[in-house]
Amino acid sequence: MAVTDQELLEQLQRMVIEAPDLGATWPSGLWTPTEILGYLNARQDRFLKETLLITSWLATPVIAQQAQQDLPDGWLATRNAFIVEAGRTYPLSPVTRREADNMLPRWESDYGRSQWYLTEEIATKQFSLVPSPLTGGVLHLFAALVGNVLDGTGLELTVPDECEPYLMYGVLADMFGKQGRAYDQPRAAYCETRYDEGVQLAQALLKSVVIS
Amino acid sequence: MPYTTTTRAQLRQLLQQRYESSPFWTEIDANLALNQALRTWNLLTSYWRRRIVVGNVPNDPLVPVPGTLAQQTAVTWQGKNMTGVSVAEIQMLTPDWWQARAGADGHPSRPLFWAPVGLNLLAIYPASPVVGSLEVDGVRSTPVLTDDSDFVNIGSEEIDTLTGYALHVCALKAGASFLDRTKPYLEQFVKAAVERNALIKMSRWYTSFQKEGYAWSLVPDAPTTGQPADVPPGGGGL
Repeated sequence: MAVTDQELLEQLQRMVIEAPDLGATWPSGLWTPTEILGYLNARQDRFLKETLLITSWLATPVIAQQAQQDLPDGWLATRNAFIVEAGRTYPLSPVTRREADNMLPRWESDYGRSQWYLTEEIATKQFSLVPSPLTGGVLHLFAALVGNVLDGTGLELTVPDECEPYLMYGVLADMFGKQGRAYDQPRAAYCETRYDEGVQLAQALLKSVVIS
Repeated sequence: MPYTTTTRAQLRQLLQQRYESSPFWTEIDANLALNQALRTWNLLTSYWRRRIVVGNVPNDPLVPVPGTLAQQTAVTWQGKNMTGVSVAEIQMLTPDWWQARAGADGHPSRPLFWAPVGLNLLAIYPASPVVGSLEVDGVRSTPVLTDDSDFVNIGSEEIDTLTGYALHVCALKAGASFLDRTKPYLEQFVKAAVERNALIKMSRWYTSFQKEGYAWSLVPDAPTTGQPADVPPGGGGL
């Protein structure tokens, strides 16, 4: 049974002593429903990006002799990448722009079989192949995508139920960190610490699956 | 200590004995804190486990795992063990694993390796050209206590740890000094949980926790709203 946005919103209301009504209204006036939904969606996507817990497989065509390839809509972060050229699969390893420039100074204009990739160092939502591919092919990505856009109507969260408490702490950190009457630095700092703990635990769990 | 069957009503009673309900905490608050304690316990300890059977699509190296499983820990193919590795290791082993098929030249005759891609997806090598069954052992979703008669089976020595954590969850509502005072319950909860999970014990997060514990100290700021610092911004009481 997945946790819904309304259940989480009502928990938030109880935490800040607002009248619980599934997140529909925030009578204190310290926050608006739109603000809270904004915090919630941003934190959910941030959690998905930072942990890579929920991963999708994407395939997108590679344009020959072009280093920059567009990433599909909804892409947040890449876990693994590989390219299929002429029926063979080649893994791609992540590198930084500086490493790419040092290894292959003309990697954008000298074409070859791509072996590495850069993300977001050239332009937002672009995936750079190093060196630029000589031929076309298909780029395969295991990637985190944006979560369900939560609108307070009972949609299920994209994060696993076990991580929902940490998502709640993330939203509370934003709520208590809002400048104005709602500002509560100690509790904002506490909630941010707990959110970070959730991210690190989730990352450790995914690694632990491999070890076990 | 023995496993005991403990209902939500019993757990809530134990929690409510640890605080004065008025003005901050209702029965619903207590129930929510207990469910949060159970979820966090399961995340840290992999406490509730189950086995599910999923089918593969022929020639597809990716196998979706339903959301009823919070984490995968072991996989078998038609009852035969598979070895858990990472996607990067499969790629190093066989760069063209994506196209590899069981029984083809140079590849094993059945799926031998599995790798988690995420909690919702696992990769197998080599992909099977025929439909088979994968048995996935893993951590099941935490049981949610929705009625007072709902129960959990849990060691009796852990009941106190769980209600202590639930008390700390409740404290957030009351303010920073309440959080500070209940911090030992949070630390006790983490230590007890980690004793059950050597993998979390080896994690970077726990190494840092061991050095410093929860380093925060929430000495309240001077009130900025004209209210005492411990009164949450939503109001002064229920």
